[in-house]
Amino acid sequence: MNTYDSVLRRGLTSWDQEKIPKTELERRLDLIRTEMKARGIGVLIIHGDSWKYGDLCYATHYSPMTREGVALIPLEGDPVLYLSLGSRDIPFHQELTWIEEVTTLPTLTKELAGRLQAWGVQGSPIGMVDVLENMRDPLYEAIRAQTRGSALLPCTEWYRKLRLLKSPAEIPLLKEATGIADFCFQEILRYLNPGLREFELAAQADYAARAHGAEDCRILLTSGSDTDRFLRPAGDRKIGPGEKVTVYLALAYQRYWTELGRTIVVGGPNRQENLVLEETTKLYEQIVQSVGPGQGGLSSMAQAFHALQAHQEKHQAQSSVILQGIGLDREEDPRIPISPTPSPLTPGMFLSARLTQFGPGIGAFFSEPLLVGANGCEILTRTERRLYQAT
Amino acid sequence: MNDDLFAECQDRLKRTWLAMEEKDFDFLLVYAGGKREMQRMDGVRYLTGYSGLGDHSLLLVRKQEMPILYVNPPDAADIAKEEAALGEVVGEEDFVPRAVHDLKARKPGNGRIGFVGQEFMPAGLFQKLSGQITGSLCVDHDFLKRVGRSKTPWEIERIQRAHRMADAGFLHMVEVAKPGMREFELSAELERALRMQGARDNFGLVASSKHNPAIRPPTDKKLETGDLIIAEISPECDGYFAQLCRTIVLGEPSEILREKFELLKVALRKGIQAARPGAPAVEVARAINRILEEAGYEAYCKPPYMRSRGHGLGQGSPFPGNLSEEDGVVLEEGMTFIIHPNQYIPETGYLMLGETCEVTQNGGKSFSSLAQDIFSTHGI
Repeated sequence: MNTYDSVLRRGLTSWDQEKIPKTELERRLDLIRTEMKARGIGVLIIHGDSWKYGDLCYATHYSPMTREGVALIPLEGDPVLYLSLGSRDIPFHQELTWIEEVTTLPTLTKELAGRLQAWGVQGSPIGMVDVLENMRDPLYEAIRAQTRGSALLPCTEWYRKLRLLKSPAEIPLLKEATGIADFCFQEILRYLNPGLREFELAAQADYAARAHGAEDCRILLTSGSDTDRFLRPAGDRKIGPGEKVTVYLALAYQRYWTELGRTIVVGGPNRQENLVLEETTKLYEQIVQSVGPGQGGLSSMAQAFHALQAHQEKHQAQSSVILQGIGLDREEDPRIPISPTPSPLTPGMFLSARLTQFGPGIGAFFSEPLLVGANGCEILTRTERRLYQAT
Repeated sequence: MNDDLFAECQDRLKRTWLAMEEKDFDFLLVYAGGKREMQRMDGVRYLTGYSGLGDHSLLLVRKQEMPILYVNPPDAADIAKEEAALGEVVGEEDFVPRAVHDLKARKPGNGRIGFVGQEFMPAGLFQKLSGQITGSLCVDHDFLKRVGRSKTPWEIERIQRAHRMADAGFLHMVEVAKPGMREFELSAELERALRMQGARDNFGLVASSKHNPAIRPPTDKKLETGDLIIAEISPECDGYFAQLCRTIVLGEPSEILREKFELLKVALRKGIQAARPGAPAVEVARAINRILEEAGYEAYCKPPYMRSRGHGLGQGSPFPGNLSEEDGVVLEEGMTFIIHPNQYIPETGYLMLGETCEVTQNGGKSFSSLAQDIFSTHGI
């Protein structure tokens, strides 16, 4: 989902060590180093920024508030975290990560060659995670200049596989985050009235998230006929009686994202189109229930795909359904479109099931997080799967 | 898109064409990602009005022709078409081949292609693009900063609106701050106050302590009587930011606090007075530093305590430059800056005072309606 990314992540900024303890982070470091060793990599360079921080955060538990950060993970020795902050800001940000050595980003390229020498890995292959994908070109070039003689290997693919299944420490946080999203949605229903402007409604939802400890919050809120064409950030449009409102709400809590999407009809007469939307809701319910691991899940997802196709043809709707990984990034691996032959799911995956539908009078959006378990998916939201009415 | 924005973007495009003539650029490529930072200027938004909801966007500017905007992912094109005031919009998963094709079709030959935004472009994407372009790619980080260094009345109006949001948001904080409330709850109150006025974004930091070492994001610390709440509030209106820096004391300010805050008040007045056309930016920084140095705080006017006494503000903060002893920018009428003599003082901790100003013939013109003073939950 394309949202309006903020210039600064500015909600509650803390590291709750009871929720993500140091032992969890040590476990991750062990996993990373096992892979590095198997691939002959001496040092791993991991990049992240305030926009996409999952890779960096997985190793460091740090998510940049603004701009970027880079971690160096040697095969042996202590990792170092470089942040694009002023030196006076480092002491506060040091409290947000378990990495003991935190310093400013400009020092990275100055001392990189010396670090490699000290770790005894000069000339060894250097792994790169999220570097070619998202690191600014000038920074990449500066790193390249300091690592002449070493092969730079893209490592994002295997690294992200480590993040694919959520650990027992992560799951409670995902559930807590989803609980906040449920509350935000209830607040949307409470405030939604004809005459309210879209941005005023979004402001109330954003407040509910931040006041409950969200680190960040992104909202797409579209009303009226615009819902038939796209999802977009809230504008200054007044919401009219009888109109539809589509809401996508994503929030991060203690680094972990969750999301919730629903379609709401604002009072007014029950129009013919609403009957189509009721059918869309049932289709969404069927899709959510079909998500499961292994072969059984595949066959029920194939059934859901055929139901989606029939729905599209019957109503001439442009509908799509995607299972999208969510966690340390708002969108992460895996990304599985519903199809006759979808990729199999594995217990421990945390996915958002998104249904997007466009068409005259029948625009709709639904999404919610699902935790893939051994026998199917665990539904985390308490927000019911139905077409909501606000009066 | 509205008519005002269309006219504004047309004017910017004309100025861009002139600047291309000066630099001998046949074409200009402008890159912007969906990542938003105060510290960068979004050149695509500046020239088209598109707020950049997708992952990447690239603008191909041709002299005396409408530009072409390439966006990714493809569904971002629907919104780009709604928002962009000028030019054709192309939405493609990988827009590089199409952009290169369009460029070649216009026969750049060995012509010069200006490139803006390389400093923000992901390495992989830049390598892909630069590897396919024929002609001489001239990276020019400052090209649009020069074009847009002085603000138009349309831009000034947005910055003023954003400042009114900041002022009102701050007054709301003063009203609701109370002992026992947590920092992030106060910050949420501020956010709501800004968003209810239409702010789409905010570079906002709120911290509290009896002795703040610096400003930082909000934590779960509870506010206590006697705390100093420091706030940097920077709401966005139509892509334009204004910034307000202020200090609130939770209770009655002490004598020593009043005395030290007086230094910041005088420093702010001196800084604003110095912001005249023709003056180098360094003069504003010196006018502020002089007051604090004379009071014995010279050591605290340098890093790591202080970096600059303000910076450009409008569409982000990078241009026209910083108000620091190192910056070489010369002030011009219509430039806008946040002037902030924020200062760490050993006796009180970090204090904040600052507001956004426009450079005029009579010195800086502040956009804030608030008293240039320390605020208290018991009144100024």
